[in-house]
Amino acid sequence: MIHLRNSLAVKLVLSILTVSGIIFLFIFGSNFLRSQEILLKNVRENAKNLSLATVNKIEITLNKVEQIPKTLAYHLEHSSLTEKEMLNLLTNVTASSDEITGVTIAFDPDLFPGVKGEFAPYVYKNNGNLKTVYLRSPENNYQIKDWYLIPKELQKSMWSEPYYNVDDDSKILATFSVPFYMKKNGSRICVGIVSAEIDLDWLKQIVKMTTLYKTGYAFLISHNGTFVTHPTKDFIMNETIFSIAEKYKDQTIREFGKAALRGESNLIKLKEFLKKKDIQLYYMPLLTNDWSLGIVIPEDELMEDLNALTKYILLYNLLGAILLIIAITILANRITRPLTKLAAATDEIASGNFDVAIPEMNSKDEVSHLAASFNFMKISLRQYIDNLMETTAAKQKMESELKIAHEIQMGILPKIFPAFPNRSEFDIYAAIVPAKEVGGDFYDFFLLENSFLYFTIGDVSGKGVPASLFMAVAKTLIKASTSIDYPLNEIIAKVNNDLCTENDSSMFVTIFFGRINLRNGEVDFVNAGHNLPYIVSLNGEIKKIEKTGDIAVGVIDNYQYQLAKIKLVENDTLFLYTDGITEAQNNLDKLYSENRLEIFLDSQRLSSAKELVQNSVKEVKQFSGAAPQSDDITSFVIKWIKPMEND
Amino acid sequence: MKKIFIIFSIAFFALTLFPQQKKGTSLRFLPHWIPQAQFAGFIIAYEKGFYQKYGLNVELLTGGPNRSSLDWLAEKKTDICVAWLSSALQVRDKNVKLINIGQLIQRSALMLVAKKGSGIDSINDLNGKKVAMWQKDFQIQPKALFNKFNLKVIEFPLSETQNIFIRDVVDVTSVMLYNEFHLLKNCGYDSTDLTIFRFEDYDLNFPEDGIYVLEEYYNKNEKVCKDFVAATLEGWQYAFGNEDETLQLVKKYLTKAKYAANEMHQQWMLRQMNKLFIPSVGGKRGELQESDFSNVVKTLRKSGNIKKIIVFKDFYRSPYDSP
Repeated sequence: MIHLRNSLAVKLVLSILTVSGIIFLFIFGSNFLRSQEILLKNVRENAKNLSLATVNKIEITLNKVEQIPKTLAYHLEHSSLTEKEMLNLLTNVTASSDEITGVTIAFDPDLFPGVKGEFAPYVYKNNGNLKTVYLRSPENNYQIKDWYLIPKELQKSMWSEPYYNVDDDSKILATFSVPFYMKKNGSRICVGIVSAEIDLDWLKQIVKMTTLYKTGYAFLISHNGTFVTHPTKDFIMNETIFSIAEKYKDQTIREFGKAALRGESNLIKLKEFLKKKDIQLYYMPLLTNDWSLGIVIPEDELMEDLNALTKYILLYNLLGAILLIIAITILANRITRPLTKLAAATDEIASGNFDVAIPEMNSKDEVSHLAASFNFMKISLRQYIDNLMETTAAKQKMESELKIAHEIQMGILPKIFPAFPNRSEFDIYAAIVPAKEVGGDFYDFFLLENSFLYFTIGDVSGKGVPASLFMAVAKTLIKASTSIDYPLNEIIAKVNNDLCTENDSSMFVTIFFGRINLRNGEVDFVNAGHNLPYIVSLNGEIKKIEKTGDIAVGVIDNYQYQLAKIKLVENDTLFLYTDGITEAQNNLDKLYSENRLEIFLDSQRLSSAKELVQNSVKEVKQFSGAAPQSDDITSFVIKWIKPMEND
Repeated sequence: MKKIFIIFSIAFFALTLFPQQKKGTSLRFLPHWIPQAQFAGFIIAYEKGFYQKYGLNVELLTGGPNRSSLDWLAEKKTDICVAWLSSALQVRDKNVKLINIGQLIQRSALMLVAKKGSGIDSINDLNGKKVAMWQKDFQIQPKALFNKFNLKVIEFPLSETQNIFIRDVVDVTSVMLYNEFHLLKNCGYDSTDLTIFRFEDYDLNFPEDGIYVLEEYYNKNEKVCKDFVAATLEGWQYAFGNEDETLQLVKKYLTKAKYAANEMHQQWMLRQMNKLFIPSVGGKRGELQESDFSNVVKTLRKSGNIKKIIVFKDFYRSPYDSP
């Protein structure tokens, strides 16, 4: 079972979603920022236009109001008015203007002709009636009032800061003051101030009408930063933009206040004073009186459409992502389902069931190619395995036959030891360790006339069944040809002639054939090309039996073999062997060699025949180690212990 | 059992019948300006029952620009008032036997400020400059300062606003640290925008708000006077330690008297009062220091504001001396 995390569908979904998500976020983010930028640009334009419209509306009224004291100042300078004319004029202009609530002509003390000290007639509206008072110290020390002192000192027409009406503190007033001049002693001197005061109620209304979006609003601050209008009533005349900054510990508001009082205009981002909401604030100066109009646009409302759009885009993208997941899952399943089936089929095939059907693919894509290849592979594999099974069966049969042949071959060798349990004058032991393939080594021994021990060891050239058959023939011929009356060389010559006849396969066999006279230890022997046996005595050196130089049996027809003789002493041992011992190889491809054999034999002087055979086999195997045995190892030992006693 | 019930009923009836009757000495008190944080200690002592605790039944009169507290004291329209030391000394000079029974503001809150960048960086730069000053007692220190440094300035009257300074009619204006100085901040001036001249730096420190009674009232009601000052000082202690509560009460009084109550402004005022109460030469809060007294007398005599010799121990009764 494949873990979900490793599933192709999951991997596809994750990687495609990640990549498409990153692409989406990038496009979405840059689009959002750009939209916001455009939106803010438009807002700036809108706010600017709205501010301009509002400021214009305000300034039209202010300018209209300004004309009255300006005209009065002009009159005062260019015509000498009597007190009565002056009062008439004041009454008329106050009555004729909707906006103006009162007008004053204030002279510096002693400067109005005919009046000693202060002279400042003031006509004002009071509940629809016009009233006239003369401003006088100490109650109305106009000379130290801002509306009088400041324009007079600065010799400049100007609007005052807003102030509360003394009689009605629900009304906020502002005064426009114009210095007026008279010629005195040839020079033009400022003799007083004409001022008109207006109720700012209309201004509040205009600002109140100025709104942007749902809860956006406008406010007005004076030259000193005092709130003249604001939706929060507590702010009006009580807070300045700077006290608000202090209250909410917001330096950006203070910076805004300073910029506004410098007469700048800009769109800035702020925290709203009360609700702590993010707002965009556009501010613009009223050039007439150095006040400043601010328009507050709540950012959430400003961004409402964009935010809604953003939500939709996010929603659509979410839906898109879901569709994408479904599509990818279906596609991935379409790919993986046949693959899963293929995998299941493969598992079946692996467990040996070649009959399982490879799933049919309708598509013509890579997966169907894979299935087709797979099917072809299955068929090929099946054919191969069928072939293999046939071959194996044949091989097994052959091997079993070979095994039988080998067993037959081995069966003809004497294998029961001790072979002569009732004979103590000699000891005999032999063993063949066969190589994997059937070889052609053999040995044999038998007694004739109770006192002659015939023995033979041989090695047929080649391997396999022909060699084993040849060996069987050779061994049988030797034994069959042996007679006490025949000299050994003639027996071998006879065997040689027999084997040479019709020896089409040109096989041959090396043979060492000998006879011990158990009475006296005399040994007759013929060596037909075999490894020379060793004589191991209790003392003295390890020596090879003398060479006779005869060739192997089965090579040359009618060959004359030499008979040789040696004499054993008591306890001498004859060690016969085949080249399986001396030519045994180890992992380093080194041969066991006669040298090693001689050293080994030197250590085995006291061993019995059985011990020597077994030790020699062990020794050679130890030397070979893990290297495969390539030839039969035959070890054959005869120990002449003592002369046979006469019967 | 029935008897006991009747006795309890009568006692309960008696208690509920006269709960409003206030025990203790009644006295009237008038501050010399509107009920703002400048007088928070009095408002607190009244509102938190400190006066009552001392057995005083105080009537808080509302001060303002048209009520001279010292005139009201002389005319016995109030028993106790707050006034500036310099003002009180001038009234005493005119044979009104008033005495100081406690000094609150130890350091001059009055100071002169100029805009940085107007070329006024040191006291000598004031020479030839236009200086706005309020009337009367507000001019004593500035004029003494100008004399001391031999400065000729052009004097301008200062109204209730600082607009002549803001609009650059004058170069220098007078402000109270706890009041107009903060108003300037609220018009966009940072402390770093202004050069400040404090009178205590020129050996012209005038203790300002002090508590005054007529000598004859004091002689009859010494304990009452001492209790009033003690309760008032407790009121101030409480006010400085409980800013929010105090500002709420101050706001209540300002609104009642129909004045705008700007929270940050009152907070600033309260905090400055705490600093101004610290005696300039060491000593306890509430004590008039003889050295400050002598300095003010000397300056007033020099300027001709007072003619007589006024002796410290005649003029001042320490609130800490036992009756």
